[in-house]
Amino acid sequence: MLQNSNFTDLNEKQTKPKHNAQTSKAAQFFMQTSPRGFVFSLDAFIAVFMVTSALFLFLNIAGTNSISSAQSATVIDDTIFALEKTGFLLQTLDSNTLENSASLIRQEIVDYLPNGFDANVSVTSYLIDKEQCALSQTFEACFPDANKLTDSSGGFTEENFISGRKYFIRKERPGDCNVLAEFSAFDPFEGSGIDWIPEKKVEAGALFSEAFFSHGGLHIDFNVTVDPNDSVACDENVTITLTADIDGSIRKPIDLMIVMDRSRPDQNYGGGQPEQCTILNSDKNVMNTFLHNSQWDFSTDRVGIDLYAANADTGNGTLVSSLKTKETAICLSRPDTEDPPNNAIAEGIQIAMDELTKPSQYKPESAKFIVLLSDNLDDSDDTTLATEIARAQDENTVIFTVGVGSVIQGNSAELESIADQTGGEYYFAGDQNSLQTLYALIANRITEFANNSSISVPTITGVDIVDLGGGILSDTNIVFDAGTLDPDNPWTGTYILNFPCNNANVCGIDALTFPGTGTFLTYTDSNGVTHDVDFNASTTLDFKVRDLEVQITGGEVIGTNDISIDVLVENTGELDANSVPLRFYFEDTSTPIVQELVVPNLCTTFEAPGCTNSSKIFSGINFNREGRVYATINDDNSIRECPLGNVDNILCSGGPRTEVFVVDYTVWRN
Amino acid sequence: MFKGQTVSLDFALGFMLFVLVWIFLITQFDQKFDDTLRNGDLKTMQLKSETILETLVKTKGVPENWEKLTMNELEKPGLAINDRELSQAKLSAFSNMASDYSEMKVRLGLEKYDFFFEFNGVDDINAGLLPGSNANEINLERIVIYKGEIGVAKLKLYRLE
Repeated sequence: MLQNSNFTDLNEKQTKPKHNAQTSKAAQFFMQTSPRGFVFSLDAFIAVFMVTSALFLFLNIAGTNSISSAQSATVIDDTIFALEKTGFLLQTLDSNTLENSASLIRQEIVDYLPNGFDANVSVTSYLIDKEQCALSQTFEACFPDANKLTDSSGGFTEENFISGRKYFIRKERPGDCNVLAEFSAFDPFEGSGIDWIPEKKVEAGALFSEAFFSHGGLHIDFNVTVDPNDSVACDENVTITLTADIDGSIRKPIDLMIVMDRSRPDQNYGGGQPEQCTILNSDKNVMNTFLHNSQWDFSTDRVGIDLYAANADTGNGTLVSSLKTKETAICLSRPDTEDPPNNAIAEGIQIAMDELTKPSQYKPESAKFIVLLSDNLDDSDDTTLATEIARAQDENTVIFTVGVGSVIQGNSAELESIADQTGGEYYFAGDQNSLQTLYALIANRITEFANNSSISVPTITGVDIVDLGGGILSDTNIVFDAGTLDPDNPWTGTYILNFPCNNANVCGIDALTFPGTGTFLTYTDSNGVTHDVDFNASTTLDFKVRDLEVQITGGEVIGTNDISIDVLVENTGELDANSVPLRFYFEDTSTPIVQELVVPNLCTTFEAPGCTNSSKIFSGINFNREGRVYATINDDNSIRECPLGNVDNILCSGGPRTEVFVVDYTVWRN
Repeated sequence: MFKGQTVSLDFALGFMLFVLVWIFLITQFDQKFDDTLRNGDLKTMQLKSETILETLVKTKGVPENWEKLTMNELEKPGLAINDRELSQAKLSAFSNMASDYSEMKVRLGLEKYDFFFEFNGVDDINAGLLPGSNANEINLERIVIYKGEIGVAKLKLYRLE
């Protein structure tokens, strides 16, 4: 009972203040009908209540790791901040339509946000109304809704979003005219490889130097004459005459060995008497007469003597440049007193070759000759004719053979063979003057000839060749066939050129050199070797051109579609220029002419000393539109003048109008 | 007698039900309480990591030229030249000085926790240690500017279980 009373009391204490009217009625019902059922129901109620409360508590205690709204705001703020700071937003707005801008910005935002985020971006632009802005000077007046354009990208959700707005203004820059140097300096010779017209005049005579060539000792004099001879104007014919002349006074030095036969009878040989060279028609007198030929040049020529009979020896055989020494050697040489057993021609040649090739006095530049006298056939026992002939051939030594006496007169075949095989000739000495022509033969051998010669003169593209003068045009060269050049047959060639005033290649040239760098003579020498020789003579003349140039010296954007430019037209050439049109085009010179002015006659101080109107300034030429303006002179080719510098251009325009951009973004997490 | 017997049975049943519920409640409460404590720790780590990463990407550090100094002279690292614009020199210095891991933790105010910092952008730079086993961790990212380009600074704060 006590326990029962306590439960009741408890129930009473708990229910009375806490339960509502319905609960109280139910309790009263249980109390009246079944006190035990009441206790049980109360316990169950308390237990259920506690379990429910605990579950509710647990649910509330359970936390979440999901990203908070504060974190989301930070991430979104970081992204927008970075896109703005890196210039992405500005660049995107500046170079895209509103629709594209909104799409690109939205995509960039979504790319940098964590997964699960989405965004909507709206871009609005307000174009400035300059007039209203100037009048009212309020934001609404400057950027009215009438000038408003909007575009957006992305969907939208109304729950848990973060939004923001960014403002950007694109300010209109002041109008400007940029003077452009679009047409850079033009070098007509660039890449042509031909530098035949110097940019600066070379003083007359500076290029004339004494002709001297080491090619085989060939000495050629070149010369050039030009008509007119003071200056050349464009469109004027120029006659150029070239000559090439071989100087015969210069020849190779001679090394000559005279090989005498001392087996000849005293009377004819001259004996050992003091007057030995006075005996008419003696061998000594024949050779002495030959040695006294006036064309020897003993400043460079050298002569040696050797003798042979049964054997060979030197008769003062050293090569020296002294006529007196050799004359003495010839005249004092003693004949054999009786016929020797042998006639050692080969041994005589052997000693002569030894002398000509002796290292101590060998001169490679000298032409080497042997003059051999004999009255009989060879029967040397120390060497053979074949051996010595081969040696002479190897050393480029020419042997002239001279037969004397009746035996040889009847049988000269051997001596002829020696001469033939070494490039010489055979003579029969009937008297002391029989060798008069021998020196002339030797002189021919030591004078170079220019065979198959030709002269090549370069030209440049655009130069008119009025007359080739017998030459032919090969590529860019005029080539003359000069044939064989020798002292008696110089070559002369004449050709006529014309330099058109309207040829760009002649623009800016103030002097011309004829025939010009790159002119050369090609010939083949007597050895078959081909040589190229620079044509080192030239003449340089002033060159006069007619050259008008136009230059836009300034420009100004006065207002919208209102520009003004200044133009200078100048005669920079040496020839006067007649009146030409000054024309203006927009964007391209093929578009219709927008304005045309007249450039008056412009003189030059070259043709008109004291000339003051060599240029004309056109100031403040107005156009009622913006863009690139082209100014041209003489584009109708009304006068013949240098076509370079005849066009100039300028870009005159204002920038885009001032515009305000508003970027609204809304970001949420799906 | 029947009455008393009935009351005793009711009492026994009620008491047994009460004990069962009580045991269930106590057990669940303990478990949830532990979870709550852990979640509270995570919240603390979250706040700490947000503060540290904010400091790193928005401040120059103390002293401002700390990247030229030694670890002993460093008070608080900051990687920014300007707000959310990172310095190459400071990033490099931070990566190098973090080789003294325990000291860098102190400078960052992370005595109880460990960290791993990573920057991905024009250059990839990291500092700190990655967790070697199961750990409670907080990962945060900030979008920043580095060498004029956009990059991502990431901070992982963790405590091993």
